[in-house]
Amino acid sequence: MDYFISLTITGVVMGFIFALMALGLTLIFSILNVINFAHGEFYMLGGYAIFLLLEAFSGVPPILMVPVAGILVAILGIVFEIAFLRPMHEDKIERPAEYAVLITFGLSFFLLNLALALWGPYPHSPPPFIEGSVKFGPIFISADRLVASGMSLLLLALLLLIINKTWLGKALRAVSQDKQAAAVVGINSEVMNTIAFALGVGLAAVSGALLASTFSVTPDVGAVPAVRSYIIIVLGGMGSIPGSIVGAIIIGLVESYGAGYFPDPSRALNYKMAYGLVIFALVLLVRPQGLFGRKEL
Amino acid sequence: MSKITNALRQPIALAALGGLVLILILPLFVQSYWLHVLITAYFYAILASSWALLAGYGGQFSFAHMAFMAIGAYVGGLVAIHLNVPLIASILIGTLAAGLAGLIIGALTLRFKATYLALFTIAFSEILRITIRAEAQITRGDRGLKLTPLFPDSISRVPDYYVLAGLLILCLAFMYWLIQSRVGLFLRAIREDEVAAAARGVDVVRYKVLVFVLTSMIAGIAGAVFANYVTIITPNIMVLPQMGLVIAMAIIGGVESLIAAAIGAILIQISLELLREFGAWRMVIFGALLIVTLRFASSGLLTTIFNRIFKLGPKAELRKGTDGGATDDGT
Amino acid sequence: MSKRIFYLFASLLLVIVVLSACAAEPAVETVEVEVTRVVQVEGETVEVTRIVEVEGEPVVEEVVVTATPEAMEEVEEAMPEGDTILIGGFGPLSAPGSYQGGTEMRQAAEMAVDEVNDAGGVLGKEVELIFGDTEGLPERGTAVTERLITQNHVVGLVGEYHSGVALTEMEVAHKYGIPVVFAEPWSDDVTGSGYDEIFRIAPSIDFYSSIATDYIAEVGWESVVFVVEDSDYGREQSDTWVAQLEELGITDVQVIFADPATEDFTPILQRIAQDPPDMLAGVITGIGNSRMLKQACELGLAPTAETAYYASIDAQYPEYWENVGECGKYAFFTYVGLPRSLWNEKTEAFMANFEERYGTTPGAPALESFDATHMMLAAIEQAGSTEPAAIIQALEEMEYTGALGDIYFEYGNNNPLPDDEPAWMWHQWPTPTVMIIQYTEEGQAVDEAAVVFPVERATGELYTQPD
Repeated sequence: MDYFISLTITGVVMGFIFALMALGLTLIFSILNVINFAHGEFYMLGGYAIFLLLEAFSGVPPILMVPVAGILVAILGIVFEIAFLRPMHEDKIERPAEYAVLITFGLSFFLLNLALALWGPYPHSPPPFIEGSVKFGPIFISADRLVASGMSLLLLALLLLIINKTWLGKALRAVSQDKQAAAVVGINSEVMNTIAFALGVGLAAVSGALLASTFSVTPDVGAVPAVRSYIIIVLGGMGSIPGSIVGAIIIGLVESYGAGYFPDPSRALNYKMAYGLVIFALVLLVRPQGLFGRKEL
Repeated sequence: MSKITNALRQPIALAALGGLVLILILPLFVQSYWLHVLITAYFYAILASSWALLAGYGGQFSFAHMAFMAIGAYVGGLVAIHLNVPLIASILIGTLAAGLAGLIIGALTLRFKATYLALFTIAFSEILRITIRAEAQITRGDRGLKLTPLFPDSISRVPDYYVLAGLLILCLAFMYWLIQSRVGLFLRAIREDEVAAAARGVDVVRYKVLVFVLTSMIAGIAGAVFANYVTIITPNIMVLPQMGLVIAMAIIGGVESLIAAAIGAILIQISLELLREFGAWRMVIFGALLIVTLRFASSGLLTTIFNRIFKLGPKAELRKGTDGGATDDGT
Repeated sequence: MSKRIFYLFASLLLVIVVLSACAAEPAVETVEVEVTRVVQVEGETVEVTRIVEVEGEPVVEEVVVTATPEAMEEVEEAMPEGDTILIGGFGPLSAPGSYQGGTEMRQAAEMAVDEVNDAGGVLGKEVELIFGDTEGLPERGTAVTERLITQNHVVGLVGEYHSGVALTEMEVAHKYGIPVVFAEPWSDDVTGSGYDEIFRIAPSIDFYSSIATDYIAEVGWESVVFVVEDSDYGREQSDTWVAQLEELGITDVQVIFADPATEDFTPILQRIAQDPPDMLAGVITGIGNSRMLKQACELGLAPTAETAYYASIDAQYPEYWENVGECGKYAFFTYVGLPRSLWNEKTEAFMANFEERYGTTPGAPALESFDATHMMLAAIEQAGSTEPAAIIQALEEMEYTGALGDIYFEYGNNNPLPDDEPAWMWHQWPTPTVMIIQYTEEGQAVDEAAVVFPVERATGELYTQPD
């Protein structure tokens, strides 16, 4: 029983961190109707941002640099959105759905190789938030990971607050429901698009910054989290915020239980990513709208 | 006969003929190492043009193309090794296996729109790759599966060159024939407006799946043949960045023209080889080119340049119509 | 309309001209040539390289000539007339290869070449190293080797890190008859091929693995779990260990494969913690090594009094401590190279010079690459020519004192391999130093840490248990 509990704790702790990044993705989809295939690269940029920031300002407690990293990457997101995504909504692009897939995929390709060219393939670790491990029920968890999870939980709560209680949140929800109706009420959907994209990639970057010291950063560190995010939002329901949180926890648990219980231990870890992928494929086939399938927030 | 000579008067046909001649005589001028580069380039050209057919023409932007290529390579290779099947038969079996996979995936994704198709095919490709790597007892995983060469008794690369060049020409001819036929007509109709096409009696299901099966078979045969040329395959041939490379080649070349996609692939592969000293920056430039092409020259960089030079294409047609010949860019 | 056709043909013509100019090669000619190297013999034609003078500058060019093989036998083994001797290096300089190992191999090879040039070069000529990036992919290994031999006209090849790549590279080298001194690949099949051209100074995997398994038996551990990267190296390594441990009577052995890119080992480590083994091994190269150790440590699984931790060779690099912190204490790993107590002048000089020039501490691959490069150049000097056969003979007969110790190849054409020796002993240095090192203090450098096995070389206790 202890084993089950310890696997559950591991899964949930990671789940909260996954949720943050997945939420960013679902937000972008909800407002812009675009799956950001470069989401993993923004995660990666967040990791590099915090590493470089802490190298430049070594005295600062690492946790304070997390939002800074997020903001810096969000600015990059704004630039990209205006240059390459805005034309989609101004009817300048022939086939917007395919264009969206390809241009974000192209961005991913570009950013990955840019990071490789700029910073080389060597892994880098910023200093940890806190050293050591903490006893949590039957198991020990790395304190760093716990901090990352806690921060994610905090930010998730903050975001839910913003979405549900503030004017900005209302505006975002309006645009996600009906762009034209929102325009009638005076909400500029172009600006909302940019804000949503910036927020979305900012969340991915924060995720990357939080995990940078636990897993280290390399140019391709975003590849696995990206695929995981697609899985989560499809499972939860693309565009649904509660969906992305629930989906993230489920995937966290699936990866944990999968490795922990797969009958053949020699393959158990090897197939870790495959468990989520299979669920992903099944959901797409059987219930594409996911658990909470709604398009609005 | 006059139909052929008329067809030959088209610039694109002449270019194609010129290209054909070029391809056939190149081995006389070119050293073994560059033959290897060209053979690899033709391999990518087959993949890029068949992906252009599926995506640009058929409107299905699938990310499973490399997976079908890998199925062709691995099934062909495994059948040859474990069942002692002779080379040509193993290649054909690999191709059929890829076609079967294409049938399944094509059928499963019938109703999927662009985003869902992309996601599903990514998932399929990754699951396949992980499985191939993990089941190393059968596939030898990362250690690599060793295959018999295409021409075991020859030291020279020239016969392999002609095989791959011939395969490229054959595939392009086949795909062009397909486009000219009723299938092409129906595909275009489906791409433009699926509902209207169905209303007019086009069997949407049949043609959507058909194009999937045919392009996956082309990818499969390319994989099987190329694998036997390289004589070793690992799951790394189907990592997502490889799929990205093929997509980039097709887009930069011109996703709606098969030949442009093929030429794009060849030129890009040669450039990548020539620019080797630039290391990782090659790909950065390439990535930037991809994004810019998508945004500003969506029919493809090559296609756009070709149209500009030869004053073809819809923009030129418009210009001719409005001011009787004089162009606004001074030429 | 005709204007278009004209432009079309003009551009096609231009393309043909450009391509031919780039890649043209003269057709078969029957001439007397001064041969520097025979590349390929095919019936009545022979592809050779010769040095010609173009505007006073010596240039190496490749020529296909019609000459009967008998006539070619009479062709003098010409001394190279050009000013440069070209040797090729290969290894992974980018992902998915182990670029860290590959990069330090390249750096060490360049250092060796510079040293030789400073001392007057080889055969009075300057040496130039051309290093190709194989990216850790067998297909690229083939392409790189082919390019080095046919385009760059190198007379010898050194290096390589990955076994899988080495196996394809050696086929190309064998096809063209160019000698290779492999520095780091361990696969038995490398020297097991029996090819004349192939030499290796790294230990074979058989030998390398036996040090670890003998150590396990010596300490007395009975249950062992290996978490292994699913790669060509991982598979071969775990197969070898399992077989060797079985022979030693240790059967409670479990192998768990992991995607080389795994970031989070925690679930599987929790699974292992259900029944903790005496020894846990993280056979993962690159960043995975540190990740797994850290995660095992954070869980309280290993290194602990109950479970020892066997790290991969990447533990030898200074980033190890950056990434694992105090968790790295008490871990042990296999190291290829001389223990500090046995350092000779060359080892001292190499370690100091490398650190000064590149600012990092070199690992075993650098040492191997350094010695391999020096040996290749020394062989050319000893042979008095760049003819492959002469170089090969020189290597077979050579006894070279390098940074790794006294290197020689026991079995070759001059001393045939007996039936009772394994095939991989062909052209293999039989006595590379392989040892187990254990860290006992945080931040220890490799040469400060204790050598714990083999017992004859030990500088510390057999195994220091964590408290």
